[in-house]
Amino acid sequence: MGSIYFNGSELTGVHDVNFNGTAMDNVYLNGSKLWTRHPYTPGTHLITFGWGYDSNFSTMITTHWGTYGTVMFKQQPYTHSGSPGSDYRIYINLQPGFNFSYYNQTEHGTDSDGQGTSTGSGQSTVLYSGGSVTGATGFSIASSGNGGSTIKIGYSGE
Amino acid sequence: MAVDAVEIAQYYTSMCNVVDNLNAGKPESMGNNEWVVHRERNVAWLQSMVNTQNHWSEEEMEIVTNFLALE
Repeated sequence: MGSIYFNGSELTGVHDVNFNGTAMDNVYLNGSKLWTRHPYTPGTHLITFGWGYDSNFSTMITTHWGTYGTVMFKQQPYTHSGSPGSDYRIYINLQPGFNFSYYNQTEHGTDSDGQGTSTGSGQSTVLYSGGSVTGATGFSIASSGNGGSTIKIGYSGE
Repeated sequence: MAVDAVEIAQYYTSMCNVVDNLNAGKPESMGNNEWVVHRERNVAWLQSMVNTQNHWSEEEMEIVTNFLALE
């Protein structure tokens, strides 16, 4: 697909296109979408979130949901406790265009290829914290292991 | 982005380690409830790696498939 230029500059998606003084979210031509305004430059890294044992994930909600809201998340990340004393879990469902671009688990290593980590289709990724293990679902690294875990969320625009 | 050979080797090693760890049983340091969750999550992960990943070639997968067959 070609690019759209305005005054010699390519509209990358993070510029505003104004019509009658109003910034557009989408531009259509003959019913076909030509352009969509991106909330962030595609490829931008936005959040690094690490956690250890017995984490209740409150930071994910108080800080990251508070900062990015429904631009990044389809809904407020919600927590769930397992059997008493067993674990904490938080369910994260990202908007299309956002993805988990990295996952590291101390025991199992790193998944940084961005494959299989998009949750824009409605499937939640679950972050997990127990008394002696942590982990996350949906990656090419085991979902639970000893030591801490870290995830990164970015905007791919795809 | 394509998965490179180093990553595939890492994933395979991780799968084998998970099988070994699960076969070894619950560590003393882990509570019963936590062990159940830990085991369920990693069994599901092993199954997903076998079912959905298409980057395997000559890896010896029987250690994983034999384990999953007993689940």
